[in-house]
Amino acid sequence: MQGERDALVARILQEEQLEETGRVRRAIASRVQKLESADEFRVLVKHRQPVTAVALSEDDSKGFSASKDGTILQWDVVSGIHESYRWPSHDVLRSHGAKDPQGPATRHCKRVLTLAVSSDGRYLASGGVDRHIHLWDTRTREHIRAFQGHGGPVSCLSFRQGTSELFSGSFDRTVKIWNAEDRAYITTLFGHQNEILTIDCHRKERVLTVGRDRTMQLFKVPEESRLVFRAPAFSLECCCFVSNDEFLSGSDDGSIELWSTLRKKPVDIVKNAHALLGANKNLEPKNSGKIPNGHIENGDCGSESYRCLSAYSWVNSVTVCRSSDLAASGAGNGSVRLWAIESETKDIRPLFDLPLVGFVNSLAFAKSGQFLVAGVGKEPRLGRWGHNESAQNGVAVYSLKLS
Amino acid sequence: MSTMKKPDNLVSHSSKTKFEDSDEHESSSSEYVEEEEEEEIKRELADATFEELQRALSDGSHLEYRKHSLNKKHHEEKKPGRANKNRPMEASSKKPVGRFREVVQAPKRVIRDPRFESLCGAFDAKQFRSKYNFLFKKYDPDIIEKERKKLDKSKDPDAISRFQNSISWMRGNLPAEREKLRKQLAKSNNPEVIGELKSHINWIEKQLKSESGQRTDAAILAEHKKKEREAAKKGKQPFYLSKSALRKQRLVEKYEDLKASGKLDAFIEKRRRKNAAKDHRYMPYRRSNNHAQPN
Repeated sequence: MQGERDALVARILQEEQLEETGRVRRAIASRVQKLESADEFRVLVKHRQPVTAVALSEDDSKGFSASKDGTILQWDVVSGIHESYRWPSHDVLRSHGAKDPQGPATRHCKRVLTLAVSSDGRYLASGGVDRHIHLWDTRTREHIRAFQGHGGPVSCLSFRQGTSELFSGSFDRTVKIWNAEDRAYITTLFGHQNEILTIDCHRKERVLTVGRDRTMQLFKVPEESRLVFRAPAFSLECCCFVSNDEFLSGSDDGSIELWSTLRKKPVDIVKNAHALLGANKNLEPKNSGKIPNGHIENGDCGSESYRCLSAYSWVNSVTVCRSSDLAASGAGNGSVRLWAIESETKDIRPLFDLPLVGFVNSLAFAKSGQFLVAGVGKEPRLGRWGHNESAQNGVAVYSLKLS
Repeated sequence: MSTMKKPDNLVSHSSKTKFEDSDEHESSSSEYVEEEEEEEIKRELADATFEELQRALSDGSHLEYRKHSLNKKHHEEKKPGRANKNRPMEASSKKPVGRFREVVQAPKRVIRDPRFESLCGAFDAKQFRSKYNFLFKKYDPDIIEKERKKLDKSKDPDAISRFQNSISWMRGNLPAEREKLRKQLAKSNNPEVIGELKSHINWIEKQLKSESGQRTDAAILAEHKKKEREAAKKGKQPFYLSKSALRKQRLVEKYEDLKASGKLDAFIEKRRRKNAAKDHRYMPYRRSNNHAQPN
């Protein structure tokens, strides 16, 4: 009796360990049930300006979101009660060595573009247009430190799972490594030739970045080298790890690619993943809720096929439920799509479409796979290439029904 | 995990030196000097406040890389090539990459000028003229007919190709082209087309004239060389033909040719008229009433 229980416990622990390290994948995708008409994204927290980033803590209880006007909110997933993070004063920032914004930059300097929360839930890092990385304590909601050193807006942040190592990517084409625990800067990684847009890191000291120079780079930090993956034309907008050797990326021609470390080109591509339906039929902008008055599609409105070149079709965010095969992608075309990553056939299989109006700038799965959080806005994350008036700026959550 | 790195910017005079970890011991001749410097820096650090230290530590603007504490191996040489060409390219992540990148892959056009290329060899005028003589010669139609008959009769593929080549250049060389163009000129009405054809014909005629001139010059030179060689055998010093002598000889030959064909008088008359017309401008112009006497 005792022996059986011990064996069971040992097996569970081993499975958990394998899942944590990414060697085994949970098969969640097959368990996701088809959505009913009543099921939808429900707005949990409202923001004044478009939400640029969302982050979830490991225990799935707390979430964080940041918007373009610099407000960072911490909210409870279940109840939606939120508290805001107060921006430190100029004196505090100066004492950290941060540079004062000058002139017209003062208006936009607080714009936050990215958030990352550490695995132990203690630290929250935010980065934005002011080129500094702000480290906050989540328990007291206080500002700890402002890291300076990037030459351009910090566009992406990621903590390494299980540690307090922070990776940051910026528009100055570099990736910098910091230590949140020691409040120290460690080193810089080079490789991109244009702005870096998204960064991801799992347990291993390997950083995946994606940039406007049409490459995806996997930085192997201890070996001081990087692998370069080239995307077929068009810049890549977002990326994430599926496992240690497989990655997903979304590009601005509306396609989603699955990569492997063994191939320099994508293993599988899903084209027109977020096609803007009705682009051709829409000639009276007033009637349609999606494209507001006076706005012209900046893509080619071919009569037969919709060309996904407009800002509404750019895949702004892609995310994978940790150590599982369920993925989600979001753009501005009005729906979040769920995908299943097949491990044997190495392809991306579409599952469902979840309707959500607005530009989905950030997505986050709960670690258990119970729900999906999306940061939505009226405008895309990094600029104002499109505007959707009927969208609601805020954080929306969708509970997944697993069989 | 991270060791306390000595911040470089606090040390005023030795900002260029890097201090390695204690585990990475690099042997150098000035070990004793380094130790002294280390002592000095330690003393300076003791005076610095925690705030300054912290600020220096969290400053991310340093581009000199501090060796990562986990990194024991040094990868200073470039990694050997990847196992398979389908694998992604591997490169160093420590060297900054330039912004310039090839957006469109266009094949580089290699311009090869045969005048300056060593592969084409040196230009030999005599050889050129002997090989490309066919371009300038005027072939009669019955010669072309004969070649065609030979082509029809032959069975050997080599011979067939040779005859085909010779027929094609007999039909397509410069005088033949000129005839074709003349026929087109007679037919066409469009002034643009007429202008183009005329200029083309003009060009062909220029080529032929220059070629004939070169041919006569070459003949003169060859003759001169032969004479000099004969004379050299007999002991005379060989002389090169100067340009003026060449010109004189050319004129003499032309005179002989014209005399033979009977056009000499016409030629001389034309020349005289031209010179007279040219000299006319030196004549004093008359006044309106030359012979009128003032009354």
